[in-house]
Amino acid sequence: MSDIITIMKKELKRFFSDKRILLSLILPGVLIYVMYSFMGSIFENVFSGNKDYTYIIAEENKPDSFDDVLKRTGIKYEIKKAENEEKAKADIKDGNVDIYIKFDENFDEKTSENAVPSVEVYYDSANVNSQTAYTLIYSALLERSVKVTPVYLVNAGEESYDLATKQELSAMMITMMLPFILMIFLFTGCMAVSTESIAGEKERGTIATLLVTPVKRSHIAIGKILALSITSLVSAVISFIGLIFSLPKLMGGEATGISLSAYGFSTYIGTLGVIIVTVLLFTVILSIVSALSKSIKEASQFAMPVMIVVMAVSVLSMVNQGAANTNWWAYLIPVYNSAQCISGLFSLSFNSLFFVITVISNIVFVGLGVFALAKIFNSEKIMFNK
Amino acid sequence: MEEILKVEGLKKTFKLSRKQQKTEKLADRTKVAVNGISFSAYKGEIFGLLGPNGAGKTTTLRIISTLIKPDDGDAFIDGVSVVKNPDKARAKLGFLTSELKLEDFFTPDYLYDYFSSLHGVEKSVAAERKAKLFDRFGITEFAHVKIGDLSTGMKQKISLVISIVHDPDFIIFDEPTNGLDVITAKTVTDFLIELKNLGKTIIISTHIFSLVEKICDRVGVIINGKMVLIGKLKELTELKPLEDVFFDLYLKESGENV
Ligand SMILES: Nc1ncnc2c1ncn2[C@@H]1O[C@H](COP(=O)(O)OP(=O)(O)OP(=O)(O)O)[C@@H](O)[C@H]1O
Ligand SMILES: [Mg+2]
Repeated sequence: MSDIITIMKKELKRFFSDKRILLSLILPGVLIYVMYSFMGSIFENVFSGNKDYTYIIAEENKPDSFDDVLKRTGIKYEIKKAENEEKAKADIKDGNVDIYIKFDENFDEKTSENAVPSVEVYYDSANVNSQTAYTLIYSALLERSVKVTPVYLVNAGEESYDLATKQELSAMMITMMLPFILMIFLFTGCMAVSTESIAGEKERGTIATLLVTPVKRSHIAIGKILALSITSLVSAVISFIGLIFSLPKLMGGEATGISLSAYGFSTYIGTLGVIIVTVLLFTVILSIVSALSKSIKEASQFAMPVMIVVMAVSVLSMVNQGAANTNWWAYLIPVYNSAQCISGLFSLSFNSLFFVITVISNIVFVGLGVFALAKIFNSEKIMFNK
Repeated sequence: MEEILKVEGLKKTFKLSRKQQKTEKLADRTKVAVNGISFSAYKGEIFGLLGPNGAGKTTTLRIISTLIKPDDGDAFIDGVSVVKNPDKARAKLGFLTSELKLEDFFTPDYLYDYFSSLHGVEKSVAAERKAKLFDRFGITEFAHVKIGDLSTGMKQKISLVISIVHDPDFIIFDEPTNGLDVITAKTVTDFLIELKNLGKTIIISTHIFSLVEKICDRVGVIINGKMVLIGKLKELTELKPLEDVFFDLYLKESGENV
């Protein structure tokens, strides 16, 4: 027993004092935070315009009713009279103006006389702000148009027609990407420490020094796995924290009205549980890859296809649009089950049976992996391959 | 003379990958690395295994140090079989190769304690032994410097000390001076002579004649996995230099022109 702890302590000492390794442990969490915050602000911009941006609108023959239309879009704007059409269009191309709106003369009078005046909206779809302004103003104009001079009425009432609750909306957005992103970051976190752990000993020849000690092969394997797991778990917890902190930003704040309150304590605990077993699994898989390789370089080469498989399996979990798989046996498949559980947890369709199957299945696979690793340590063919 | 090591009829065949088969230019996908090697080493001597590349030196030494299992035969360290009782044999031997590169990141002090603990040396004994060894080989003042910041010579000394933390009477050293410059090589050979003076039995492998002539008491010549000659260095080199003795044997064994 004490030799397991000795080996574990030495590995931990190495991981936690090596700046390069420390960085790669913290980085996934930071990246999750940055990425999700970034995605959050993109969502917000698409749905409700950039709040910090003042859209420049050039108009011609602006009717009074248009002020009300603009108000409905909720954007900040500055509106000015266009000198002429050519100038306004050139301004859009140059980015000085985001949108140019040309109304027929006496627009409001015409609508009240049941004539059909026209309004032309010019924009630059290659410019994000211009595109957003167009999307928002166009739909606001359309909405008003059907109310004023209806051909037929579509969703013309005052109530909200999207019956999805705010909670469901937020769940859908998160669950679609979360499993994929989380799996990749957890895997890369594990990769940073695990790939070189055993292959490095082979490369440096220290494996022989270790193997001529009377320590049992299985104890060496367990000591290494424990150290790697603890290290990867620290990385995983940092990823988890990064994720939790970025969620409110991802939800787009008040603008979309999507809130975090949908997720309770059990969601977070469940997520942490899935993260822990997944990290253990990744650690064991990568340690085996490392043990089978002759050098650190070879180990990282072998780790790439494994990563691609993990990515592919996580992508599969995005296919059914965030709704978790309902076949219990699907939760026996490693990686897929973790991704599905995260989907389930965040789409508010958490199923405790599936969660338990996932946890148990992962623990069984980890156990098998540790057993295999001990066997590998015993195999002279693999430990001293030419 | 007290027999510390007894090697009896060791045989080892490796299965080769296709790639290895190609590079070794073999018709068969197996390679007989060690083909019935027997010899003994006696207390307090330095025994040299001399042979060209691929002769089977490393394989022989790995079998003796319990790292790999022979297909046939056995080796006994102080009467303990390395095949039947590897754990007990490990306590009696120190194994080292010049290929060993300690992790840059740790200090000699830490690594010593680490391997001491893995060898099950009692803490107080370990501390006393560490102080003595570090002192004797001039490591004390570098005890808390990271390996990565030390000279190659110092690294080699530390590797040596670390492989004898359990104070074995029998030390196996594969290619002790391989890839070292003359100064570092001298540090290592001085170290080995020092250990010999402490009454340790040492077995080294090498393809360098001068090293054998300088430090070995007895020498065994391995060619193509077979021990073709064994004897006291003094007696073997009575008539002609070791190099000539070797080449005569080599021509006879391989039938090749050199
Ligand atoms: N693990 C292995 N798998 C396949 N072949 C091996 C393995 N280990 C050694 N061999 C082969 O066995 C033969 C003897 O190798 P060994 O390393 O024992 O020679 P050596 O005398 O130490 O040579 P060198 O001076 O190059 O170190 C070589 O042909 C080598 O290619
Ligand atoms: Mg060799």
